[in-house]
Amino acid sequence: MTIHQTILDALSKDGLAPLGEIIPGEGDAPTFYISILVSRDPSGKQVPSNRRLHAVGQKLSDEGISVHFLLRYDDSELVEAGLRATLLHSHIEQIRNIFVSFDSSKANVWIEPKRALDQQTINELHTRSEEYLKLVGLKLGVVSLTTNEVLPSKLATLTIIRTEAPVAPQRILELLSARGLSVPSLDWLSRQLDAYRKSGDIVRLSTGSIVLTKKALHVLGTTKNRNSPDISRLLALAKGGR
Amino acid sequence: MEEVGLHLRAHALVILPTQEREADLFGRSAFNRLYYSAYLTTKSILGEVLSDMPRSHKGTPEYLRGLATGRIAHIKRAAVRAGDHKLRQDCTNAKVAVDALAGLLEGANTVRETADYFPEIPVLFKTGHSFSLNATEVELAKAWPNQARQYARTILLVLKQA
Repeated sequence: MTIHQTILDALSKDGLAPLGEIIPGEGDAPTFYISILVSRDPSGKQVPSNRRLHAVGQKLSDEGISVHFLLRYDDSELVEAGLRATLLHSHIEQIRNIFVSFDSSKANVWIEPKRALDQQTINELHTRSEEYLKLVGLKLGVVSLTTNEVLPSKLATLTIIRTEAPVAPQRILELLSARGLSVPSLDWLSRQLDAYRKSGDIVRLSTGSIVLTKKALHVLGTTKNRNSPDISRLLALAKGGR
Repeated sequence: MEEVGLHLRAHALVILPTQEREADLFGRSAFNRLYYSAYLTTKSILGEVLSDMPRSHKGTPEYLRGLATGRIAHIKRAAVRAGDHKLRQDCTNAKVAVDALAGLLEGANTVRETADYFPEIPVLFKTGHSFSLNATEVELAKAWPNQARQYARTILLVLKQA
């Protein structure tokens, strides 16, 4: 019996049918790619379940045949079209496009905004997505909004300060930009720094320069190898001529 | 490259009435270009921070999945320690994106291999304006480059922070 037939037999024994032809990957002992149409039961659970697919895969693996399942959700286009219509209807000014991806019983929403959105709008998008998905029996996974620009995180900012302290806000902006992070304005950065001050992570010196507090230094931690931030700091100090 | 793929798709539909065999070839090429568009977009976006991305099509999804337990997990731990709640959530999103992107590239690459190496599996033209190859509609393939871009951006958002 050919490998192909063996796979088909194993699938049909478990009540599974491949979508289209099974495609062998490259190499001498290739992995066989099997597309499977999955749907959802009334409670929203994926049918066939991942466990069931894994079991069949394991059985074939025991016979020396490596398979990989590519899942195709039968309602994916409808759900995505519906959510897209809903969100574009209420937020056409702010969103360029959205799409949905699925895993098991969750749906993840991917939004391309036209510009950086405020928190209230982001919350609205979350809520609307959740409500819509509930109607079709799905749970909301993640909602991801991304543009070309990457804002600096608290972690990235504190890390820069650790290496360069004491450091002026303008210099922090330059260093963050040099890392490829996008700082909207010095004002924006100042507001972030204020928040870090309130959370006890930084202190503003009388000169206007910023340093980390002992607490922040402690949580950022260190490593005892060539990549240690202590070394980076020593080098930064040396470069600064101190 | 996405544009080339869309153009090939359109052309296949135009010549279908009189040149069935050629339409099949154009259709196959459309899937091929759409896969490469997604693949190269991924490499281009993540290449900004990842210098060790593999060159193989087969190895790329595996490499991406490794990011979830490797670099992203590392950044997530640091974010939690530093009290950076937003970055922590971003790391969760990035892990989901890694899984979705790996799955997209795997599925798309399988269609591409079907188009390139299995000519006995024909492109099926539906009356109207569409065609499919091995149960994958070209309308679905059209979304690959855009989806890959969003997933890659979600991952880059995190990797750039450390």
